[in-house]
Amino acid sequence: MSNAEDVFFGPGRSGHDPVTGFFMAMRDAWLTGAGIKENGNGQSMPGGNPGAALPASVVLRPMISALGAMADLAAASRQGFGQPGAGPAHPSPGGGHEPAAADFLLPMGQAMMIAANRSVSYWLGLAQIFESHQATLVQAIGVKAVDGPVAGSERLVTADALRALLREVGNLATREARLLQNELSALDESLVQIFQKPEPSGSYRRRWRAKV
Amino acid sequence: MAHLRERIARWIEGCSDELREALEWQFLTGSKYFRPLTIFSCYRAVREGPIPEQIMQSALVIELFHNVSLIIDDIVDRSPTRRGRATMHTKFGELSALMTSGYIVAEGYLQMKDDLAGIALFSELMKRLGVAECMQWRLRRQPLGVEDWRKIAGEDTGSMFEVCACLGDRSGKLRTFGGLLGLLYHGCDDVGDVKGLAALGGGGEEDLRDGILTLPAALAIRDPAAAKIFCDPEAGNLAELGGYFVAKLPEAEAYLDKIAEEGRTEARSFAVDPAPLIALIEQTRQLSRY
Repeated sequence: MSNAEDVFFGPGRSGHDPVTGFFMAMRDAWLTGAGIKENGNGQSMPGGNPGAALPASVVLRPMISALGAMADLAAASRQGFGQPGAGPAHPSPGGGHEPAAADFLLPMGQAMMIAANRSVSYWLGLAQIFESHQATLVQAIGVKAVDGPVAGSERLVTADALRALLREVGNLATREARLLQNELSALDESLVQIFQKPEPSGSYRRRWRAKV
Repeated sequence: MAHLRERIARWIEGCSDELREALEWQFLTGSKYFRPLTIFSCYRAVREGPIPEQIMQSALVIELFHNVSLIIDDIVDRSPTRRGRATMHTKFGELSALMTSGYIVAEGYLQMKDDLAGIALFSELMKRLGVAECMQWRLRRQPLGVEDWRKIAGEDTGSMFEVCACLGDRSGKLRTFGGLLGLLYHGCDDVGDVKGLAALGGGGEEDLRDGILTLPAALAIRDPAAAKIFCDPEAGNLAELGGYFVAKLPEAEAYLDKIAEEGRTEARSFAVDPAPLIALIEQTRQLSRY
């Protein structure tokens, strides 16, 4: 792997076989997640955005790394790892499909990517909502401080705007959860297809009769 | 739609002689069949092929239940006409109108036969519509906001279209889309009323008189002067209040555009083929623009 690849795919994958590389990429993702959480708990700048201390590339690198690992797995799957008996999906003596490591790992990786993608989408959506309500929030905090007690009608308007903000945040979370559920259901369906047992042969006939 | 119209006519032929004239008066003229259209469009958004019997049956029953809500609304609002014709209670009397409503509901459930999921959805609809009407009446003449309007409209027209979407797609994936479509329809109706349009079937005078929280009202009563007349009609004349509503029409239209965009996004995210759903949104959005 070149230096440039090392920058993008991270150290986790270099020099490892695809399965190990995949697990190391997952580990990198967890470590980064833990780092973000720790950062949010106490290391952020006063008044700043907890996630802002970490550049986007740091957050995205493990995801890219996982993608690369999966690409390796897919390639290895095609080549059968070059070792007899180590192939990801080799035919059984009966001609059926025997599940192998890659058959399990690829969907796991896909599920992880789906979850990560939804998570990023949620945070981006949240940022957009707060951006669009920024003026309202500033008004809600600022008016009272500058002008003293707020007029009844103005309070109603501000309350209405804040309720809209809360609704939008709730709707966004529900929507992303529904999308996640849809995408995982599609993956689930593809897994069922992969592991579905072969149809009974044409010569198979049921051996019972329906009651008259 | 022609097939649905025929089915409704056949259904009326099989009903009691005593109520047939009233049923013909109510059903055989002037319906836009927008709710059945929503069911068909939601079916088309997730599946291909001809409309199955179960979906056709649901479309018939939604039209029956929708008409029950119209008959009751007209009695409560004391509306003498709807779409330019005498309302059922005006033509046949309140007793006949109320009894015919009960008859239609019972017939609706019978028509659903063994479609248990459909029956559950219609039960949900009837309960939510009842609650929404009571809530709307309890909250009249109060200085509430757009979020309150959204809640009331979501339970009223929103629940109707939510159920239409669920009857069409039969998976619940388009429920939120249906809710947004209903909200949009309700808002366009509110705006159309203020514009003095007859296109949607009703006038806005009843809502203005009763202090019902419509979308233009929710925006207008942010102004304390408008709120004062809205909450206490004795404090000023209704024409003046109407003027405040008219001034808020551009803002109301912009808000409806936002709801329409939410609906389009929902359709693109959860439908296999969003085109029929987006067409519904566009058709509904036009209702306040005549």
